[in-house]
Amino acid sequence: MGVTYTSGNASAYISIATYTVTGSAVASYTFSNIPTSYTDLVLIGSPNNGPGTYPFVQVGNGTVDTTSSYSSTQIYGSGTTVGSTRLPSTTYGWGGTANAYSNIKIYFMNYANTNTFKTWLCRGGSASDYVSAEVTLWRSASAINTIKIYPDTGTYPVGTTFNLYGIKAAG
Amino acid sequence: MGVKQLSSASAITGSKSNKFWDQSTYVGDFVQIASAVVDSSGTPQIAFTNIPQNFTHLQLRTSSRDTNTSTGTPSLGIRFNGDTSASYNYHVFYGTGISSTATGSGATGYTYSYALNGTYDGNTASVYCANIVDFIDYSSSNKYKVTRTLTGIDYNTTSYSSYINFISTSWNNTAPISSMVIQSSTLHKQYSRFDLYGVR
Repeated sequence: MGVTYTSGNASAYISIATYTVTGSAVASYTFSNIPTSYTDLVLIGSPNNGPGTYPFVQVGNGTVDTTSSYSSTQIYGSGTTVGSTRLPSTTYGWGGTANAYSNIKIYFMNYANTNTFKTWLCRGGSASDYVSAEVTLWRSASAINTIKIYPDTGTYPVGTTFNLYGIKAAG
Repeated sequence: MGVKQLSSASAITGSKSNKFWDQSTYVGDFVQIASAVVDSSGTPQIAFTNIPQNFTHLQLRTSSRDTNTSTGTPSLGIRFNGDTSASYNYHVFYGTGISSTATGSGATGYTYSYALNGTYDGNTASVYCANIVDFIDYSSSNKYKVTRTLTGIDYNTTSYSSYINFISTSWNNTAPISSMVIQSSTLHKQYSRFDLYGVR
């Protein structure tokens, strides 16, 4: 056999949940009970004059994993320099870059598979700091149904938005 | 902005009109085409054939690993429409966590499109390489075809390099892409998956 092919023609990019910070700033936001019926997840964030330098991401199944099970690699351009750096064995993964009026786009690939470690890719950027891309490994074969995002310092102000989408493969 | 269904009695017909308005969906739809999931036997090739021509772009999303027990980062070759000639080019810009580098060639022809990266089985167990590849205006019969890729893998080790890459490739052929074959160096390993979507 070797490989199983399936085909489809349904719309594949589905909104799962949306969150907007209202009233007062928040230290973090957690998407819980994420359905595992999709193939990939996409998290799009738009911090409003956001804090810190990095959005940090923790994931889990039921609860977020706060152990040193994450590692990230980044490439970035600051406007004057290009570089690459990494975080080995940390308690969070990178979710892009932040700071004032940044944007975040995170792709959680094959997030519901219970046989493989999980990898996510990020595109981030802020006019005041960096354009960047990141890859993070979460060394767990658990399906992801919980995602927490928080800034390295400070809080997310009113007006910040986080949108979670599911991408459903054919079959 | 979405464009809602207007009327099923429109005088506009044919595949070209479908690219803008297919009578039932919104502009901007992201639509399933086909998926391939590798089982315990593994497979040397993933083949998507008879790719519909009524989308504007394609996107391929993969999570894959190779059975080759070497370490390092293999490029997975793609061939379009069975073209084995040296008509593919690529450029890549990547970071390893230690350094950032640009490489590739727009002049030298290759016999594969290196739009995808993978990972060998000698690397950290259970880690699969992620790729997101856009095939822009794939059904045009007037232009060479260009892809762009965001790909990355992190092994949480310094024994071999993790990487995050931007890749651009060209297929120097004006034919619409109607099929693609993704070739492993040995076998695509169990739990690898390849998902193809159309963007209206």
